[in-house]
Amino acid sequence: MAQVSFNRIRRTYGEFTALDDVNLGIESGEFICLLGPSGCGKTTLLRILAGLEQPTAGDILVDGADFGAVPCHRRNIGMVFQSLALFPHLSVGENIAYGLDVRGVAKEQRRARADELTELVGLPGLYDRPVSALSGGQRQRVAIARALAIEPVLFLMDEPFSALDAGLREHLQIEVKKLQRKLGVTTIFVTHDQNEAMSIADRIVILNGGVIEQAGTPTEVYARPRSEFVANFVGTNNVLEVEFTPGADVMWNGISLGRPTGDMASLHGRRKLSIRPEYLQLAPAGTTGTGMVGTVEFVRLLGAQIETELTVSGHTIIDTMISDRPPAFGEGDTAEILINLDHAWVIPS
Amino acid sequence: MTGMLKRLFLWTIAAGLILPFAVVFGVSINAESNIAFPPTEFSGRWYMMLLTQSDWLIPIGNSFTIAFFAALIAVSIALAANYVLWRLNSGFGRAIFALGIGPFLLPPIIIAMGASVFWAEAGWYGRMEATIISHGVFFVTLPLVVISRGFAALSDDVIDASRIMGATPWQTFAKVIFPLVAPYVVTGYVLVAIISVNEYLISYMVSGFAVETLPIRIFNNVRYGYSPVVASAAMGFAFITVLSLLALSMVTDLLKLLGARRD
Amino acid sequence: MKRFAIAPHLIGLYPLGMMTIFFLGPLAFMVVVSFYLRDPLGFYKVDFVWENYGKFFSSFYYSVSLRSIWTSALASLLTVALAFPAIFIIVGMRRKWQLVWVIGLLALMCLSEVVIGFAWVILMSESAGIPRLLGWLGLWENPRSLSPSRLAMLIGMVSLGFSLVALMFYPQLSQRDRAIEEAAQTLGTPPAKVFFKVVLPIFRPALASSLVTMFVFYLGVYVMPTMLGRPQDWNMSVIITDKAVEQANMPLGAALAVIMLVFTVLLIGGFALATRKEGAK
Repeated sequence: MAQVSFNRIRRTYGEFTALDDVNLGIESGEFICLLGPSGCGKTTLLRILAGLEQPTAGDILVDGADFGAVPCHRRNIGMVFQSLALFPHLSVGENIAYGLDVRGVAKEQRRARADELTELVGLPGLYDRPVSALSGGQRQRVAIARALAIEPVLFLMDEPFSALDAGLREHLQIEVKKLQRKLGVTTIFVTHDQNEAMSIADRIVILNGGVIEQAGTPTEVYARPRSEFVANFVGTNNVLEVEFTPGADVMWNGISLGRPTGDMASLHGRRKLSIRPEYLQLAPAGTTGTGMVGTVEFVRLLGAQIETELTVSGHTIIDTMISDRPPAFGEGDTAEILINLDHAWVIPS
Repeated sequence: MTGMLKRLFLWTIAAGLILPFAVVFGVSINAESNIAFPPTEFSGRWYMMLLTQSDWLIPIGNSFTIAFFAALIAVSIALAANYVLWRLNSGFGRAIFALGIGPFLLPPIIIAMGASVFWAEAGWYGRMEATIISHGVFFVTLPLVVISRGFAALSDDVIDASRIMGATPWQTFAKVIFPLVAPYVVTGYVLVAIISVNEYLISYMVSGFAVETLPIRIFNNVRYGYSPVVASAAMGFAFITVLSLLALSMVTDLLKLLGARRD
Repeated sequence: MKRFAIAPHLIGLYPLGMMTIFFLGPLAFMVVVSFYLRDPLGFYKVDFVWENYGKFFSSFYYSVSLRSIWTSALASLLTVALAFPAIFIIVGMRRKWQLVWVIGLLALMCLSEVVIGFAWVILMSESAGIPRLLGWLGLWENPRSLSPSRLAMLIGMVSLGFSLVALMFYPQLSQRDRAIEEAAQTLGTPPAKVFFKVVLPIFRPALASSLVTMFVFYLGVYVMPTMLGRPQDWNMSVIITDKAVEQANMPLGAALAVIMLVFTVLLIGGFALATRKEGAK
């Protein structure tokens, strides 16, 4: 189990900057998700940690020791690749035992360890099966077992579930999380799927354009986004550009959103306000007297929730509410939107 | 370290593949009439002779005529076979396709021997048409494989879309399928034409004594005392081949046609 | 139930007919001719004799056969051993350089055996090639022509087949999942060993099939042995051509070609069977 620290990591490909001055510390036993859109640099950061790529500048410390000069094959890292990269010419057991084989472990011990791991990932008795005869989910498990067989100091996963259907993916996410808790291995998981990141990570690191936008627990990045990018990327959100004046109402496009209290009361000037759809409330026109009136554009049912899309003077506002009754508004209806400023978050600028 | 070794290995191979032609080029521009290298005085006379003397011009004409028609035959067979396989995907289609792979699997001498007795019996032994048909049939494998890549890239959705919009099968072929596989067809045609121009054994055994092609002319010349005109003819071959391929690489993505990874 | 499509079947008759008449037809007729009698004045006389096959069982054809097999085996092994690693390196290069190599290889593949053979004849000649260069450098006192010789013939054959093997492996090596080699590295394989530990084993079936293909290909080469080899290096192809064309003995040439055909078909069939068994296992 190891601590990792990235210090001022930079990686460029010609003109293109994939990573720009990345600093990140990872605690021993932590489950980290690197989250971001494609091309944000998350996979590059993972590959640099694995030693498959060299940073242009900066260094990596693992348990305080410099990792930069250690070649990939001596880093003792377990990695699950996006394509899985199972060895097609080897059986399930031989795949899992490969890392032990190159380390010169005797045959019986390799066999014993591989059996132990097939058990651990839920594939008992498949030692001699060729990997080409496995289902998608089974192949995932072999890849995971192969990476863990060498008792790695770090466990890396590069979008391992992106090719699976939604049900199986969720199932494996939970399994991986449980396995990681049991083994306590420091894990770094790359994904572009924010739901996946939210459900398995201890801490999410959000990257955009080669820069870390925010690193924090799932609750932190959801409730207190540090940038507009994070506010929009994680979950559905309404980001409004508002005007604060101490002692006066918060104004948005000439509409009053109410009088701010607490820390918000002392703010002034133009700020970005993040307010989640579940904290908005809709009321029939003319019932509350609020100035924020919208036209319903689209209504859809999302299982436990009803999502309503409205436009208010050209801006789109999303509202969600529990679907314990049929939608109260149809397309084309006018509705009043109530905002509770206690649940709003001012994005730091 | 390993990078150096890799580069050395590749350069050695490149040298082995290019060096013979460098020397031939040197000989072809040497003014002296005995074959010698390095050249002492430069001259284009051997190229002039190649392009003016009838005992070179006739074989050149023969070779190009054969290549032009043989490539047409090969590509038409390959296109039809691929269309049928793609359209039916049945045993019938697969059998035709397998038949087209056959010539590649057999040593050329067997094919040449077979063609030789066949045309002797048919009474076309020594006629250019015999060489054309034999080339067209025996070089079908390459366009067959190249065009099959084109059909493989053709998604069923596109065809269904065309049919739903009201196109007849023929219109679908002419307006959708053919334009999509056309680059592969062109590549196949050019490759067969080049290979046909360069082929020796079949031409020789089918009608070598009557229809002299350029390779036959060169071979006879090398065997029975040669002049530097042979060198200029060999270089002419190399130039034409490389130029045709360069032209091809400009109109099509050659690497993709040969199956390179998309990136 | 799908309606029987007539048009594609009709179109299919064209390639089917062409291949049957002009590819299978000649092969079948060659078998027939191999039983005919030689006619010194024409091509052959219709007959049914085993005499042409009988001639094969002599020490001359025995040694020619062995030599053909041995030379082809050696040449195919050398070619694959050079071309596979070369293409492995080439597919890792930039696209621009890959294109340069691919055009060069395609050009070589298309270029006539005659032209490549002639180029090597010149390169190995006393008056213009390597011997002259070595003599000029003072490394070889009495430079003599290096061809015709067995080595010259082998070099000619390898340079003829190299482009073919290289282009056969190009798509497979280009499209391979490079993550497998990276996985091997993360699991502790030193980079220098990845090629032998992972790449070669994965490509073992493809390598075997390219060896068989090239073996068959070299069995049928004619120009390289005649141009670069001595009469004692000549393979079966040269002998067949010699009998059929130079000595105007088509039935004997046909019989020898039929023997080679049977050998080739057995070899390819046996190999296909072996790979299928391996696949089932």
